[in-house]
Amino acid sequence: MRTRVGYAGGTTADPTYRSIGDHAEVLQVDFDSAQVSYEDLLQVFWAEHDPSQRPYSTQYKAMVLAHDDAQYEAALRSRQALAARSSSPVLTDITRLQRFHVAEDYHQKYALRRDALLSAEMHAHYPDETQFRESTAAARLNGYAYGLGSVLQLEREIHSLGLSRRGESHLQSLVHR
Amino acid sequence: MFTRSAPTARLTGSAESKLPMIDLAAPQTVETATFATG
Repeated sequence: MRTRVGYAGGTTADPTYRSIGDHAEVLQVDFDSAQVSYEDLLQVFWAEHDPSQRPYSTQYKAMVLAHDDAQYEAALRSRQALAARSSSPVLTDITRLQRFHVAEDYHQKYALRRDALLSAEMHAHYPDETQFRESTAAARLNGYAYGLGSVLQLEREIHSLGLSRRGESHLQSLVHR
Repeated sequence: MFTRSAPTARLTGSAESKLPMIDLAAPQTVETATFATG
């Protein structure tokens, strides 16, 4: 699993955070489809936003940006299923991804960057910002730093994250609190 | 869906052995999804 954030859904050339144009802020996930399905991710997506709310700006619009026919059709099916069991309208758009524009480095792994110790240890492994952004370990640590993940999940993988003993102890204190 | 070869499979030397193990275990099949959650 790898993650990155960026801008997509619009037509503005070379968007930036300060000049996002008609794009939305988006999250991109590379995942092992032998371990987790696209349909599983769609379930998380529907749970992570309120599909009955109209977006108050294009920048913060919720939508699925399908990469191919299979994703597009799976997203349509999941929206239909949600609408069938919901008393509210489902307004979330499903569209085709035309182009993904990766966001600036300082937006990548935002929660991890705000943790000085964990960020320093990962940057020691990956001084190159692209490698840092594309690291699965950095993605996992970003989630824990954000307050996600369980003690059990951490126990299973803590020694695979490339941290020092001090880093592991610090991470455990974050997840246990 | 596309298949991506393991990008870090070459990282087996002692100088690189402290890299996160989770990054060395590249998945066989990788699919990419993109969402905007508002």
